Amino acid sequence: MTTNAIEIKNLTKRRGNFSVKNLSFTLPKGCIMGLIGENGAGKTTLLKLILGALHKDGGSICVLGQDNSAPNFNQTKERIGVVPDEIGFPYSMNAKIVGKVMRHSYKNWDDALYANYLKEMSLPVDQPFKDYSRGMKMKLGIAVALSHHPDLLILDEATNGLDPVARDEAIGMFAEFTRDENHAVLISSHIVGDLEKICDYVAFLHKGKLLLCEEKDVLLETYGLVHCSAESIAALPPTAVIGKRESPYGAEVLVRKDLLPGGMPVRSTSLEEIFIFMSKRDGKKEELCV
Amino acid sequence: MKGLLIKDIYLAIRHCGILFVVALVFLAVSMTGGNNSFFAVFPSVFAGIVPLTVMGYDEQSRWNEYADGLPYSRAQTVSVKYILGLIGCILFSLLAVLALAARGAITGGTADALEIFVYGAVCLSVGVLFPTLTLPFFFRFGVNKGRVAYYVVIGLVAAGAAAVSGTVYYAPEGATPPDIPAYAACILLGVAAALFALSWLLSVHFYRKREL
Repeated sequence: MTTNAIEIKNLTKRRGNFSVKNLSFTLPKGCIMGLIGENGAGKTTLLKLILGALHKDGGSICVLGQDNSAPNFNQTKERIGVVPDEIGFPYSMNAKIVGKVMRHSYKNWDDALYANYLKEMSLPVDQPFKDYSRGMKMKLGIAVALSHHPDLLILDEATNGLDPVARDEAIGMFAEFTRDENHAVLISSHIVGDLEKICDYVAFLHKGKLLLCEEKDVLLETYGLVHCSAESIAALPPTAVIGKRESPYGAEVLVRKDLLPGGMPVRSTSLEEIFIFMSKRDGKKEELCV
Repeated sequence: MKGLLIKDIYLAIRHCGILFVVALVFLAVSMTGGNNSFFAVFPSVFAGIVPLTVMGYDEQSRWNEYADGLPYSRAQTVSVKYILGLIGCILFSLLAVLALAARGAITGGTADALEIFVYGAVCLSVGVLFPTLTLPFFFRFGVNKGRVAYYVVIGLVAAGAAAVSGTVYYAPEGATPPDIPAYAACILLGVAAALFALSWLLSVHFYRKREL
């Protein structure tokens, strides 16, 4: 039995002017991986490739031990809960009808669990989907994704549109979900703060290329910020400098702490800062190895 | 696949109510006798339009992209639309046949089994023509571009209807509409079934390759 929820090797995909280039990563079971990237970085494309909605040009994708191009991948989808960036329920349907459709779609559909989620999320069951706010639509999508006892959650910007309280509740649900060591979550979001709270692993996508994929704690431990004057940057070991931001008042430099001389003051950094510095690097687009 | 079918039937009832009402009016007109039995063909044509209407609502709500995350294959997504069209066409062809039998009972005449079979076969064959000719375009190009095929088929059906009604209404005095022999109805049904199956396979092929 495989220990990984998702295994991607050398994935390539060209779509118009955009391409996913030789992408590889692994999401172990029992973990949450956050997918961070700017608009158009390829996050949604990657999630669609994982679900087999887009055809890959090369490489392999294995989900819950099953090749996603296999004819019986539909059976594997029974074990996947998906929340896309746009919840595509027909506008005239309400939560009750959605439940009816899903009951006949998933073998493991749990009516009681679904009703419980609807109640917990205060979703009106008889109101047409078109009258839901964006946050309510997302909540319904999350309720559906969780109500058939999946082993893997694939969430595309699932916390966008939720108010801070609802976002916190949703994040709590996802964290709770991975308490079972056979469960895993792959979540993309612009709200890096949310990902920082719950993720075990982080993948940075930039223009279809995986800049980095690493354990969150290792990342936060490895990188730091140095504040200095613009002239002092040259004094730093070039291999330690990952990116810099200069202003008339000085410079901020993202560095690898282990490559700096001892005793140099280094401030701890956040995932958001690491991602912004890495994305802005010019001419150094090769994959980083931590 | 049952879940998809429930969703499509719900959307059909919710959004195609007016089509069903018009279909029933046409059936009622077909019962008034004379050459009006010709109107009984239209309800099954309307039923053939229903899957296209449902596809329009699917595309508007981005259901197709959502459905890629559900445990259904693209072939099943396509098949449901064909099944929906077929169920509608069969249902309204049966209603047309019942209308013919009812008219016979009301006027004191009788409709023999052969006549009923021919009548039902023509209704069903003409009804499935719409999804047969248009669905592959819808699955290949999407609803907006696929509508071109829809208008072309509407034009063809209208032209065909005009030709038939011209034959019926402007025939020489005392002439009766030509009877369709049973073997011709069988051939018509066979050709319609073959084209319907071919269209189904073509749509599956197109939709499997399509990237949403």
